[in-house]
Amino acid sequence: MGARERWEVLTGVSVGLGLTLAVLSPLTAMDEDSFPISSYPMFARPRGQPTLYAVVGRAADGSEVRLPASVVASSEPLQTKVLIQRSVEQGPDAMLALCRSVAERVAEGPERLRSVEIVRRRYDPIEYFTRGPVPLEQERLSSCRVPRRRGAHAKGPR
Amino acid sequence: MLQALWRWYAPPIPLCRLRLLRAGVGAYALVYLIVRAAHLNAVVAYPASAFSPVGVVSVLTQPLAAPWVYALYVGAVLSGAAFTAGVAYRYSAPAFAALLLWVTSYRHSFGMIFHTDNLLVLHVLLLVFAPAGGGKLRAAAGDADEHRRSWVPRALCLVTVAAYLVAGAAKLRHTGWSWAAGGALREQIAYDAIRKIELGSTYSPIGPWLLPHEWLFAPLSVFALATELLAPLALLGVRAAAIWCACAWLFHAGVLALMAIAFSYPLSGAAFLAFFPLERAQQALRRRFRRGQGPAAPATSAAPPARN
Repeated sequence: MGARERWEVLTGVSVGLGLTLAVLSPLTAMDEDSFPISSYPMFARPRGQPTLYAVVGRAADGSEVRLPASVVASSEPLQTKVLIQRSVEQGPDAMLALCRSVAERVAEGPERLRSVEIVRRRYDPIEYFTRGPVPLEQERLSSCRVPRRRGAHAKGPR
Repeated sequence: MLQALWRWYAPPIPLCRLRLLRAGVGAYALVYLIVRAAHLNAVVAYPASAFSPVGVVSVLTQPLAAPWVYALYVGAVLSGAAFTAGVAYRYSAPAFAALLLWVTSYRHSFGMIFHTDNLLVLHVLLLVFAPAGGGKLRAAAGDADEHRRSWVPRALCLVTVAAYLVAGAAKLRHTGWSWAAGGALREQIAYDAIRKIELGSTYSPIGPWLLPHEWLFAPLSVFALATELLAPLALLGVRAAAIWCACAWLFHAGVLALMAIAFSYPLSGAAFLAFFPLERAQQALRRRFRRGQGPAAPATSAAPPARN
């Protein structure tokens, strides 16, 4: 085997098999996830009765309005979910900051809402669909008023 | 024994297979970058408090300024175009691999790791080592087989099956064999739909519609788990690879239908190209095209018989 062939074998083994072993490495420590080497935890765990955090709008009549992810934080729902969760973990100030930033965007939009709330709700995921979307428990974590839009008085009461 | 293993790992292959592989994976990556431009660049608006760097982005302690994010994205698109076309491959391939790794890693560095990009990034990284530059994608009579870096397609296959194997093993580690009974999958589908509903996002109505039919989820779970754990069988040959790739594609189609989660790289088929002698498919397509044009069309080239 010539020097060139040896180099070829060395490169092939170290790069190709090395990267394969790197991809397999989470088999030894499944708790860590990263990118692009991942332990692929999605779909792996039973969900039980998950607690979800959501940012919702409240209309003048007290009814709840779901806000699209793009109004809350990002056009990607999963990213939005994480950003809401982060603000909850960081405490009341972070939640209020998120609440106010969402309220600003709501004020610019077509919806006429009185306030924005961050809520925590626990569900039974199967019963949500088989019996109805009633949370097992819920709690309002933060709330803020939607600022009046400039010129809103010309369009009638909100 | 070692020589036999090396011959399996690095069989001589036509150069045009490497180029077709580069063009296929590169075209997918380029389209992906352009179609997902808004999502990849949306990170500039995320709060710095959400910054949680992963992978290569761990070198940063705080988010990049917006102009850097945009510049790196544009660099990824431009180098991706050169990579796909095979232009200045010696430079464009490593540049594209590095920028694609950076752009996707940066996007995942705000608390949510999306597992849809992993294989694409790993495949592009491996293709850097293939002599796959040049614009000529058609095999021609007299083309010699390529011996240099002919292990690259096999490495792509190994990385692919390894990723699926890890995903299957994660289910066994976290839930055990009971994952195959269907309960965990049923809960996952319900949970995924709820979080999307609660976030005001679109969700698949098919998953929730199936939830009352509990018996369905055991066979679906067995199929998913078997597809992941038996992925290494795809390395046994082209026929085995075709069967496994079809199963993996169906698995992802099921995830899309039930949870509206698109693993677009495998769904596009680009993730599985390395398992197949692409030049043979190219020849078959060209013959078919010629037949469609009528008997007068002459045969202009003949590729060497495909191996492996």
